[in-house]
Amino acid sequence: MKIDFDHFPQYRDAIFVGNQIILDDVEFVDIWTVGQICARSIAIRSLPDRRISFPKTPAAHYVFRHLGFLTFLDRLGFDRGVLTNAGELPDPSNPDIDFFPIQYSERIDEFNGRLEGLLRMFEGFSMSNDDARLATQIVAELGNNVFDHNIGQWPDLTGSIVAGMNLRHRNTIEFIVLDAGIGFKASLRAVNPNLSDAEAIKLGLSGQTGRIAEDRGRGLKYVQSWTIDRFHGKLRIQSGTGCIQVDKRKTKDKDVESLPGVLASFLVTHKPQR
Amino acid sequence: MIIIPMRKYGTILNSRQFGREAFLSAINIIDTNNDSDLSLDFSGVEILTPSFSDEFVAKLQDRYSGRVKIEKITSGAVAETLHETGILEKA
Repeated sequence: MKIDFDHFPQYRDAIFVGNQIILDDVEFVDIWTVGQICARSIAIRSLPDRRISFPKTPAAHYVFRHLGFLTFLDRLGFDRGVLTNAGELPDPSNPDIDFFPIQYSERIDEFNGRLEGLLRMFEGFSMSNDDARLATQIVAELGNNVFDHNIGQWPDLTGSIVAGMNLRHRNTIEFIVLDAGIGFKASLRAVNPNLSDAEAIKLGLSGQTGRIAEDRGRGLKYVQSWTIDRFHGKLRIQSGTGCIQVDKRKTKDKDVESLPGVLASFLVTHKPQR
Repeated sequence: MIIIPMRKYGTILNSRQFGREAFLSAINIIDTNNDSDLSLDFSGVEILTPSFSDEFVAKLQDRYSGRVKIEKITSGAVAETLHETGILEKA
């Protein structure tokens, strides 16, 4: 199984089985899929029959190891006894991937403290200074949304999860920002009570704010503009059963299996600095 | 002219909470000074998110209408935020 954004719905039921995450036969995952797996890990972390089985193929195993998935599971309180295939495998010969490991920030000051490292990581991915700064600004604004829109309302795990991968041979970077919060629809309910998940995401992207007496909240509109106009990239957002992908040409939406909270990603192709 | 070196607040300016704290700090400096014009010096600032900008720069513009100048932007990302949020047009 090679699982990416487009193919995740097709393989979802093969890897999420009851309260278990079965990755044995996975050969490749993109960072979007890793975000889905992190979200599922959060959801099952306290259930009695939880289990996570790591990939058996070296290439996919390498991705999870270098993203620090095991450390993330430790932070969630997973007992190593519920993990299988988690031991090291030999590295694949030419993985051609740089990693920004999964970072869980419980509070916004923890998140803010990591932005400097994130900026230097983008520079290390051979981005120009201005591209690296703008990419960091996108992640920072997505993170702000997580904390601002969930304050006082967290239904489950508090905080944001950030991770990224740079596919060097394609000069393509994709970053995710994930939370287990209330999601777009609940955030917008006070002013727009009858929206579907997809409609709520689109409203957020249009710059509509979610809260009564709030004359602000257009950060997502700027994130979209920078991703598309400055990086010629793609912005992907899933909240509940709504999943939207926006690029220069069009906005695509699809109904998918529900995800608690929000998973957002931006995918950019950059010109490496020599 | 009161010059506020934004770098004193950090090179990465992010979050509404931090923007609000910075705003309160700045108005205490400005309101105890007799100068009427204000310059925000962005040299050395690498990142300015819309969230911080809403709470700091936009609120300074509201409070000191027509008196806030934006100067020495050295980061394209900072310029993007100031442009997208309409701050530069008002400065």
